[in-house]
Amino acid sequence: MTIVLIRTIVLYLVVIGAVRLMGKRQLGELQPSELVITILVSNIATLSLEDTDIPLLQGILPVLALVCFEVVTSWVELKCVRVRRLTSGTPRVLIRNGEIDQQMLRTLRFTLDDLMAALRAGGVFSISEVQFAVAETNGAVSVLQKAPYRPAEKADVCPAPPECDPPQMIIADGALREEALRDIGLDRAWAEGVLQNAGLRIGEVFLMTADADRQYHIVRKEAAA
Amino acid sequence: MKRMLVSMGILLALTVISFLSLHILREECRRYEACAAAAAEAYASGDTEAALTAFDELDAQWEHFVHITSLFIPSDKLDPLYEHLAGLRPMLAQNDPQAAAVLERLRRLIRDIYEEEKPEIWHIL
Repeated sequence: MTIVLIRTIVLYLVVIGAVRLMGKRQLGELQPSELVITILVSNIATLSLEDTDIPLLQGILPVLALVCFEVVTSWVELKCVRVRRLTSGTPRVLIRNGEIDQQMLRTLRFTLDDLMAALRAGGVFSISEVQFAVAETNGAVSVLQKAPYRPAEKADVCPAPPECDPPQMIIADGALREEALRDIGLDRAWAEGVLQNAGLRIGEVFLMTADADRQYHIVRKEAAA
Repeated sequence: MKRMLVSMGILLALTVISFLSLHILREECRRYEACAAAAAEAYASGDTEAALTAFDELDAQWEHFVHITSLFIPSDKLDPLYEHLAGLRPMLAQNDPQAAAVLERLRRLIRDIYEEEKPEIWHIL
């Protein structure tokens, strides 16, 4: 049992490291190759966990190799469009100006039910409202509605307001985050000055947020019960 | 770019490890087969005492052989070896004529452990 536990810890660390190496992608946004790698890695790791007769090295080696190949391939894809097209395919237009491209549906083996479900998921219930619908390389369908059916945006009704970055969390649970302060062009002295005016020290603050316009919000730390 | 370089580094390390493992496996199998060959030679010369001494050396090396080889190959591949080894001592002590065949089979199995790990096309396929 101890052996299983130790093997599990080692494999856990390897798989976590491997997933970190693959980078930040959400499950729903995986490219076909990434999905295949994810499934393979989970299967290989499971085999090595279940069967202690299999050397740990035989579990770790393919996991690392697959993930490294994936990272190298994605780098090559970044540099070479042809490779990217080969491994990930290209986006395909399914609906153009309200007209369904039936040939494309057949090519992609997309049923009408699949298409309608994808449109409904995008908040569109009538094909006539669709300007463009594109099947992305990760299988998602992106929909652009015709102008009269698009939801009104702020820019449609009033002049564009000035752009403003979201507030940053500069103190979290009594700890000052100098990097966040730098991101909004402020420094520790400014934060300490604001807190001094409020009669507080950094350690007494539960949460403090601020933005580049020096607008801030402070939540005092509550006394422990 | 950093990820790519780390990946290339890991792939390089994995390649080195895989060839190193092959080398270690070959050396270990050669060493252990030499022990088996010594026992077979002593038995063939009709010297039972020498054959038993050589077998004891073979038996003593077993744990070390298993520890090293099971780092790289599934341990169930070593089971047939152990089965042959377990029944060999009484056969040698009693001058059983089948002992020579068992020793030969043992040597063959040891050789196969490395041979089956060699990256040859039929093994890959």
